Amino acid sequence: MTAPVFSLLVAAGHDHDGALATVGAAALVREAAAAWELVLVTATPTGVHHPWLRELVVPDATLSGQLTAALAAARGTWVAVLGAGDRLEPGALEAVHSRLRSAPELDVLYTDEQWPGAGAEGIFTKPAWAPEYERGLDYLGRICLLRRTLLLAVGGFTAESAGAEEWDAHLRVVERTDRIAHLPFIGVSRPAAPSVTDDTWDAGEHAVARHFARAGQQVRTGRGPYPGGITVWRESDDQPLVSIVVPTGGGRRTVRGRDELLVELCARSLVERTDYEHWELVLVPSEGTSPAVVDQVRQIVGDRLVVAPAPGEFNFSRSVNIGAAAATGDHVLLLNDDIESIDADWLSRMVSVLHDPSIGAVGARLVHEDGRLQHVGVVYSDRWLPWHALQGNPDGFTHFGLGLLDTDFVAATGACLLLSRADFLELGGLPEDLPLNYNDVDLCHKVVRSGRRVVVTPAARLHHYESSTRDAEILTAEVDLLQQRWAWLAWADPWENTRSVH
Amino acid sequence: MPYIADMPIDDERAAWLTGLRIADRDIHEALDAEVAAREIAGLHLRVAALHAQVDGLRGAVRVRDELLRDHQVAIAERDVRIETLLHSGTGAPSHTPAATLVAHLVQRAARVPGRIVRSATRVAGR
Repeated sequence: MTAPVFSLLVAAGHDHDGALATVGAAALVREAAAAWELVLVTATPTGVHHPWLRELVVPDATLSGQLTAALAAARGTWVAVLGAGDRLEPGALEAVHSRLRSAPELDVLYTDEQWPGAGAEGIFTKPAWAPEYERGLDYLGRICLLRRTLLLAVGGFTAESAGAEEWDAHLRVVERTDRIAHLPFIGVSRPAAPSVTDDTWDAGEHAVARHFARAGQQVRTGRGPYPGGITVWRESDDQPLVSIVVPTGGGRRTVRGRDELLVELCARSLVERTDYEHWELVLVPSEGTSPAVVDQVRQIVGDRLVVAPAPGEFNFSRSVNIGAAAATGDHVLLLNDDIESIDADWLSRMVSVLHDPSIGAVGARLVHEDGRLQHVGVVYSDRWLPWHALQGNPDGFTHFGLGLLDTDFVAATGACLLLSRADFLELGGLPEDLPLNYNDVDLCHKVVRSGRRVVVTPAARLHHYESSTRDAEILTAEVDLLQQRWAWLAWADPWENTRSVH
Repeated sequence: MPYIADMPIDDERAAWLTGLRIADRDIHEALDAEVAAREIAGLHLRVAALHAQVDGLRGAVRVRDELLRDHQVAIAERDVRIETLLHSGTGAPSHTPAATLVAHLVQRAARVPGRIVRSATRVAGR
């Protein structure tokens, strides 16, 4: 057999049944001339022989010890871990091989995976590379091929990672490369969903904490709202002033059964349900707005109010830009006047995420009054139009952590969007040739083009009484302009592969 | 409305806003110049990913075909075996020990392909 292109590592220990299931499935799907090997580590010999199977008998080794032995024996350019009992899906390795052939420079290539579950619950369709998601959940999972030399260079599988061996290895590898690709193909069927116990959850948290320590970021970690998921708080003594830019026309609507001035609700929630203290409110009344609206807001927020009127026909982009020009803060938060905070830590959370220098814009989870999700991130529809992931599902609905854990997107809604004011200026703010729709998408895409990331943190949760102030009609010209500029980025939407759950 | 007239955007704000609009214009002009190259690169990536998926599907079809072939071979072997056993048992009294043995063997032979297929599907996880 010529040198294998990749090696699959199976640490089976005493699990002979699992080992035999994995080897049997591999034998079934294997092409005669396939260039991969399976390195099996067991506690006692299985007695199974294949030319492409190498069994190492290592009695009483820990999981990381078994994986280390397998890695040392591997000869492939890439290696990937399979669990005992995992069954390769027919065609998966042909797909992997094909992708590696077309992109031999890749350091990491990962597939989708599945396990038994009701309906689609066990079918884990994954996004393209989403670093923030990986920091909250080891979504790279299996099959995840890593360049062997790179894995060895970062230390392989370490004893300190016990309980989160793969996640720890994945994090250490992705710290060193951005040559990471996703292959939208089910690579493997696990016999059951990945087990989450107190020990594995803790181990994952420690792996994430070590990752941030290596990155030089001071963070506080904790268990996230998804099993096995981790929430990260970037800590800083710096408490930047946030200028909250709120365009308003003085719109009203019925909220919780009462007729309300929306911007008043918004301002009140800033004062009463926002634990981050360093903010100012830049109110941008559009032409024709009653002065009484400004007066009412001033009564609520006092001397934290800055008023920056926007004359002329309503143009949301221009209003926000005028507000940002009047702002004095280090950060600008774009906030619709029909938004009201739910959890008091929403702004602290968003500021914490923006502390990461690789992140250029931070969005929030927005929830309709009736408890349905309005926004957890912008994705592209199958007609390549911006759409909101999981929109209309109950708050708390998730697709493997999406909607609950921090994740990367190509855009987030401008209804609640935080950027540094310097970046906002550098990026040209909102495009005034898109006065009503997609201006937030354009701004976020400019963030992505600049090399920074757009992250939505669902831990920041607010109500959005959406479209209560204007008709959300989208013009053909707006669609055309967006697609003319950004079709290439739409095609790279990391969440395209998960459209069926949106 | 008096408060609008009372609070014009001052010179500093106006300059900031002008800088902002120039930055937006410059970025979009730069983007216009690079869109074609970015679209081509993006399409190359999509084609590579789709090509890999097609190769994967071909691999899956190959596995399916191999299983079907095994299935067909097992069925043929079963049929031949049944034919042989029936032929060898022709004319035998129906309640003799030999006839019972033949019937038993036929039943066992008929189970073999089913076992093979079940075994194969178990391995494939289906």
